[in-house]
Parts: sequence; structure tokens; C-alpha cells
Amino acid sequence: MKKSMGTLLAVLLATGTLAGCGGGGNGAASPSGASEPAGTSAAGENGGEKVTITYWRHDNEAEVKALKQLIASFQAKYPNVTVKMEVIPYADYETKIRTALAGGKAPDVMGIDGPFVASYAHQDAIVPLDDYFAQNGDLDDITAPVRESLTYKDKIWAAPLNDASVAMFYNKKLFEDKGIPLPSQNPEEAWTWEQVRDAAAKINDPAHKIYGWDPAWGLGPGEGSAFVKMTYLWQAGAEILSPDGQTAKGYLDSAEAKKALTFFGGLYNDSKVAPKELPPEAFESGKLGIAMNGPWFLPVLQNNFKNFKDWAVAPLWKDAKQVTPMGSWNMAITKQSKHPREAWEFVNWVTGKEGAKVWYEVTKNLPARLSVADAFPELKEYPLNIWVKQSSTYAKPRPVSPAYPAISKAITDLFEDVTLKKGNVDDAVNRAVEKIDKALSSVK
Amino acid sequence: MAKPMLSAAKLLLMIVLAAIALLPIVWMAFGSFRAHEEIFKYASDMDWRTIFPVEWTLDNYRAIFSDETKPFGRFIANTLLVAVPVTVLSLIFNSLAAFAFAKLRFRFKKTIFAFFLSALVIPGEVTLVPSYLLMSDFGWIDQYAALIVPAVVSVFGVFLLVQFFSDIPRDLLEAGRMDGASWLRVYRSVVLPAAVPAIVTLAVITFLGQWDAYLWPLVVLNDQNKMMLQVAIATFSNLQVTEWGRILAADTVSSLPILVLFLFVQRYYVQGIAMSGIKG
Amino acid sequence: MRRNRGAGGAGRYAFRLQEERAAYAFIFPAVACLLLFTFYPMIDAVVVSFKDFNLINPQADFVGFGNYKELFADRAFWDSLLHSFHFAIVVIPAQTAIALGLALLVRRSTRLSGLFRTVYFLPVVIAVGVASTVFRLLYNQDVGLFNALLKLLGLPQVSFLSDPGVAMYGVMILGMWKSAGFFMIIFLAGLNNIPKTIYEAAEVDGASRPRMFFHITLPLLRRTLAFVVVITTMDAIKISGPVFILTNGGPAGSTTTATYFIVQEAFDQMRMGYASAAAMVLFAIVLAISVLQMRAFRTDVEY
Repeated sequence: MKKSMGTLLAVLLATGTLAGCGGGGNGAASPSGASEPAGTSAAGENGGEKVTITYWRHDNEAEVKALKQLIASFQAKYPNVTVKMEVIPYADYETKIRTALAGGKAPDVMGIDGPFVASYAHQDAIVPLDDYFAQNGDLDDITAPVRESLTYKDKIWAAPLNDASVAMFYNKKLFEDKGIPLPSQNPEEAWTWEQVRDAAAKINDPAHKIYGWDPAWGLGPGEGSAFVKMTYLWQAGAEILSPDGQTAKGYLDSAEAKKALTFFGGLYNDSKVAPKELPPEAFESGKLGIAMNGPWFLPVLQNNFKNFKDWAVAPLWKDAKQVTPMGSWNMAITKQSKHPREAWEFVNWVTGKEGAKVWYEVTKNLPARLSVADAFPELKEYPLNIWVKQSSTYAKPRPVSPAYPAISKAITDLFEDVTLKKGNVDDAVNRAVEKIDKALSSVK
Repeated sequence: MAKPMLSAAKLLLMIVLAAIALLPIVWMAFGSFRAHEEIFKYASDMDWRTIFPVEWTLDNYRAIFSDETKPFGRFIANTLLVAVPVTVLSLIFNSLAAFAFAKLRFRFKKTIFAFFLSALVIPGEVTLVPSYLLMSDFGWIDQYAALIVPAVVSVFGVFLLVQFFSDIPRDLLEAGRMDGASWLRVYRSVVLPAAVPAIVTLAVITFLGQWDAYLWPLVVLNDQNKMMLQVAIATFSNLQVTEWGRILAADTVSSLPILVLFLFVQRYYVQGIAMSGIKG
Repeated sequence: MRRNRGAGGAGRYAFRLQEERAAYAFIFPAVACLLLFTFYPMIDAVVVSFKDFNLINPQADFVGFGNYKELFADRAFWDSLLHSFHFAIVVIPAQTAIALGLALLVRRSTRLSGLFRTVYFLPVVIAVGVASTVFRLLYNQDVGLFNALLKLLGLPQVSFLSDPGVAMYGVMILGMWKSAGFFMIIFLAGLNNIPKTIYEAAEVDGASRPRMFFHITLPLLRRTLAFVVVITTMDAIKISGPVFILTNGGPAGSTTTATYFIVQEAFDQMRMGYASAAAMVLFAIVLAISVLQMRAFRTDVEY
């Protein structure tokens, strides 16, 4: 071992020198990076100067299609600006963009999931858009919950591509077979947790591989999972953080939160209407009575499962309160961008009033702009009206906090704890509170 | 009497093990010829339909090769463009180093070798960001150089070859030297031919490592046109819907070149093993 | 190991000098690349481990041993180490035994052996990502092939993916399925270097098969065995590849291995400093185990 220590020192010295020559070689070879010369128009005019804006986002067929259309029209309008879009697999989008930010190689414009805006803003990775919005961004046209979800320290840091909401999907045939009355389509008449559970209990038939209810996109980690699980806490009347966002103590460990967790765990362990593991595409193949999903699920059903006609949509269930999750992907301008003005023009082209209409037509995502919701009659009719109504009336943003990554993980861990480990709810909640508070104190 | 019984049992065991090795691969390959709805339809109870498609379709293959936004053939070509040079260069550099470590005498050999081995212990994920910064300093972001150059030395490869080279008798090498050959020549004409199985194994493993690479190419390459195979496959499962049929088809296609490579070199491989009786 | 075979004449000395020069030339490319592309980033990571380094913010303060102190109090980290060790302790002996068994089964140079050898090697050439995706489907409780097989054999269904007590075994099976064939090849090469004459002599002496295995094969395979065990250990403790796709560290964190923990902290939580500290601890542990193993096998024959 002693020998190895000596070697380590030797390497330290050697690498020092090698790294030196590496750095030296740098100036010579950089044909790849920013292709434009160093002299940049600091702000303002789109003079004749050629500018390239890089834009990274995660992969999604319809959205990429919409963006290609919007980029083409943008470049026609601003011939001096070229937009270079790179599409990254969803699962590792964050890894990629964060590594690039760490390396100073971030794009000008990045796709950003709503709840992470505060982290990126807090770490000085993205720039506030208030001044730009004030000039030509039509901020008031964006729904209040979306604006709230993108506001950190009284500034707005991202422009929304669309909103998201989830409603109850159910299998009509399974309901009718068991003589269960169908839920109302009226967004004001959501079923209660108990109503849903009772219906699920009648449908549930694990011996024949028919399951009652998938209450929150299975179990497991990930932002999608946290997105829907937080809703149960809110519906029961609990909060995750204090109003000033400084602690979870007294909120996530409230009686309401524990009630929600007990109910949720009970679905898996007591009434057993929810399976711990589902076959892939259970709902689409008629093996699941009740699920939750967003409007993006409609084209999937229509295109990929043409033969499955038994589905119907109802408003998302409620408990003490009717609350629905919200928030989706946005565009932000990185601090590293050398052309924030042109970047904004591109962002505004895509997310502004006109762009948002094109976006809706191609992607069918729930609009974040009121003007878009007004412009399409289909958004006022079943089933889309359910999500539209929910997003304007019952939607609640996830906590806007620079510690959000830790909060998200603590919440999914918590729900897994109370279902899979069947542990004591009090202990599980205390652990989650402790984790969140530790993370909060480290970002102060 | 006992002997045929024993060998029948042995054969049976070999067949069972072969089935275990093959089953997931066969399921994958056949699954890629199924329609989307059929993939999971017959899997609850075991019968022939669990393995074999009921209605054969080429739709999945058509889908992955006809998607203009994801030119699958191009991704395969890209991956070859990186995997081939890496394999060739890495065989040269690693076998040279391994030869020195296994057979030559020089100062600090043990220390340097211990040092090599300690690099094997470093999990690659940990140095991802520092490595990225280094590539950025070199101006190699979005360049294949970032994939090729750091990959040409594999500590594992050196370690593996050292094991094999050690068995070559030194007398054989010194005889070559006495005949006036340089060490490089001895390496080429004595060491390499004696270690064909090891070289072939390492070639397959190195190639596979590149074929398999995901995180590093994902991070250092930006340009869509330069995308590597595994990154491209990952794009088939996104937020809303996972195209299982396409994934299985893409997986099958991406496994094929490696299979062909292996079947091709397997010949040399077996031959090599038989030859390495030179020791005795 | 340098042996001074008595200082010979000047010619001998020149010969040695030449040999040394050749050796340095041969290892130079490898050493240079290794220093630059492995150790330099590693040292960078060591520095980062003493900083309060957020991934997306280059401004970071030194916090001394702060990350390490926090780490030692972090149950999630210790749990992840335990999971890695659980994986390693099962997989190292099991996989090594399977690989050796396979090698013994197909060591003859007949056509049939060659066929089986190829078949056993096939899983090795399937990419980790591909294998993990396929196994994820095969492990499904309702529509997975494995459970259909269990049912056919009259065995109870197993929730490979949703039972925290079972999931790690699912990861292990995948790991072994994928790697056993590779180590079989290594063993085969080792077996081939055992001179046939030794077996023939033993047979003449009337030695039984098991006796030959324990008294001839195993001892003569010592170096190969050492190599296989050391490599398997390093791979096993660092395991993360299959976890990303197969289980995502779940259910309920039961397959969150140390490397998975590190990646989560670094990229999901963006706590690069903390993750680097965890990586250093993992590095120290794996290194210590490897050194012990090397000692145990005394593998430094003629280096």
C-alpha cells in the first residue's frame, strides 16, 4: 500500500504536466463549438449578423414535429438566425443537459420541466425572462397556476410550451359488466376516493388478471411518479412545504397527509384493489378498470390501440378538496447563452400566442395560454373540457423550491415506503420530513 | 454402464443450460416480428405462441428503418465508425503494454502495474463530469475523438492479456532475441500468434463495449447526425408511449452485427485454443 | 518481479537496457492515456469531493470533510453499499462456479462442444441495455415468460420487479446470465494450458474424476481463477448497468446499489461534491478488497 501512495504522488505530478499540455492544445482545435465569431450583438437588434441558436429538448414525436414547423417559420421571419435543435432521449435528458451546463457547453435554449425551474434559477444556470415578457410576451395570457409554477423569487424563469393535467380513465365495459354506475363527465362532479375504491373493488379480479385501479402510475421513482402522487396529499388537505417554503415540518407530517398515505397504502395492502405490478399497457388491453392520464393519452389510444373502444374519461377523483396536478415542459434561456435576445425571440415564437396555437394543433397538449383554450372549440367539449376546466380551476403547482429534486425523491420514496415496505406511516413521514428539511437548509 | 448414463445426463444438462442462455434472445428476436398488441397477449400461459408469433409482421422493422427523423442505418454506421478504430487501436496498445508487463523486465514494473489495476476500480459514472470537462478543454465535444481516443486503452484488456502472455515461455522470446530480432519483432512474430484466443476475446469484448456504449456518447455528442446506436434505441421509449415492438426490433438489429462478428471469429478462437498447446 | 541474475558482462547489460527501453516504449501509450483520461478526471473528482459542488453551478466552496461526514451519517448510502455487497457475495461464487462448470462441460474440441460453447457465449454479446429491457419484460408478474415457465413447472409466481425481497435476485440472475459465458471463455483458455499429460498420468494412477478436479485442475487454474474472481468482484461491487433499466433502484430502494446511489446524487440531485465523496469511499473499499484478494491468490507470478 505504501508503494501505491508513492505512485499516486508521481501520477499527481505527471498528470499536472499532461493536463497542462492538454490545455495548451485547446486553442488550436475547436471547430465544433460556437461557430460564430466572438463579437456578438450584446442585446437588442437582429442586425444582419448571422446568429445560431442551439436548443436542446427531450424526444417526443409530435412535439418535435411541431417544433420543426415552428423553427422553419421562425427562420423565415428572422433570416439571420439559425436554430439548431438537438433531441435527447427522455430518460437521460437531465443528465445530458446538466453535464453540459457543468462543462460550460450548454445550449442557448433548453427544455425544462416546470418544478426544476427553481433549482436552475437558484444555481444561476438560467436567466429571468421578466423584461422580455414585458416587451412582447403576453404574460397575462398564461394561466395563473402555470405562471405561479414558473415564478421563483418574484421573477419568471421560463416560458411554458403547454400545461398538463390528469383525469380519470375508466373501462366502460368492466364497469357495466359489474353493474357499476358510470362516473359523471362534469368536471364539477368528481368522484370521491371511496367511490373510486368501491368501484375498483367490484372490478378487481386478480385471479383472472383483471385489476381494479392504478391510482398513481404505479410505484417507483421519477418526476412523473411524484407529479401524480403529490396530488393525494393535497386532495386530503395537506401541504408539502410551509407557505414560505422553509420547512416540511408541520405540513408533510400533518394528520391530513398521514390520512392520504394510509388510504394510498391501503389500496395496495388492505383492499388490494391496486396491484403492485401491472402488465405493460394494462389499461389499453382491457385489464385495468381505472387509471389516470392526460390528454396526450387520447392520440395514443386512437393510433396505437384502434381496437380498444371501451375507454371513457371522468374528472380526477377528490377527497377533502378537489385538486389536480399541473405543469409541464417549458423553454428557458441559459446564462451561458451569448445571444439571449435572439434566444428570446425564438422562445417567444414558439410559446407566444400564435406559436402556442400551432403547438396545440400538432401536439394536442393542454394549452397553457387562455387565448389558445378559447380558440379551439374542441377544448370546450368532452373529453378535453375536463382537463381544461381542471387546469384553470383545481390545478396546484408542485412546490417551487431550489430543493425540489430532493423533495420529489422524498415523496416517491415515501409512497413506496408505505405501500411496499408496509412500514409505519409515522416513521416514513418523519424520514421524508427530515430529508426534505435537510435539503432545504442546504440551499438557503 | 455408468458412462453412457453419465454422458446422457451431461448432454441433458448442456441442453438445459443452452435453453436458458437462448430463451431471452429467442423471445426478443421473435417478439420483434409481432404486432404491438400481440407481444404480451399470449404470455400468461406457456404454449407455442408464447415464443413464436401468431401473425408474423415486418412492421416493426419497416418502422425503424423508414423513420426519416431517426435514420437507423446511419446510427449503425456511426457506431461502426467509432467501434472499429477503437477495437483496432486498443488491441495494439493494450497488447503491447501487456507484453511488457507480462514478459519484459524493467524498473517499477510492479508499481506501474498495480497502478494500472487500481484504475479498474474507478466507476466510470463518477468521472463522467471531469472527463467531460477534459473533452471540453480539448475541443472534442461533439467530436468522435472524444469517443475514440480515451477508449483506446483498456486496463481490463491489459490485465486480461497479461494473464495469457504470462504462459508464453520466456526462453522462446529470448531465443528470438538471440537471433537478432527486435523486441517489437518478437512481439509480432512470437507473442501475438501464441495468444490468438486472448486477442480475439478482447477484440469481441472491446467491440461490444463500444457497441453497447450509452452514457458517454449521449453526453459528449450533440449533433443528431452523429448519434450512436444505443442512444438512438433509447429514443424509442419516451414519456408517453413505449414502442415495444420497435424496441425489440431495434434490439435485434443491434445485436446482429455482434453475433456475426462472434460467429466469424469463433473459428479462430477455437483454433487458437487448440494451438496454445505450445507451452508443453 | 526483477531478478538480478548476477551482473553479467557489458553485453548482458546492454541487452537489459534495451529490454527496459523497449518495455517503456511499449507501455508508454497506455500509461499516457490512462493518466490523462482516467487518473486526471479521478483526481478532479477527489478535489470535487471536498467541495460543496452543485452540478450545474461551477461556483463551489471547499467544505473540507463535510461531504464525508454527511455521508457516514447517511443511511441511504450504507444501504446502497449493503445492496452492492449482497449482489457481490452471491454473484462472485455463483457466477464463478457456473462459468467454470460451463467451461468443463464444453472443454473438449468436438464440434458439439463448439456449438454449445457458442450458445453459452451468446448472452455476452447482447448489449446490457438490450438485455435489461428484455428481462424487464420477461420478469413481469402476469405476462412475463419466466412466470409462465414457473407456472408450467407448477411453481408459484414470483414478483421479480415489485417485491423488495426478490428484486435483487432478479438483478443477479440477469447479471449472471449476461456474464457467465464470458468467464467461461477465460476458464477455457486456462484449462487449455493444463498439459494433457498430467491428466493421463493421473488416470494411470487410477485417480477419480473429482480427485483430478481438486488436485490437478483447480490448483493449475489458480491464476485464471484469481483473474476471474478479481474482475468479478470489481464488476459486482460497482454494479449499476442493469439496475438503471431493470428496476430503477426499486422497488422501495431494494436494488439501489452504491454506483446507482452515486449517479442519483450526482445527476438527479445535482450534488456532485457529495456524490464524488461517495465514489471515493466506494473506490477505497473496492481497492482494499482487490488488494486483499490479490494477496490471497498471490498472483504475482513472474510479473
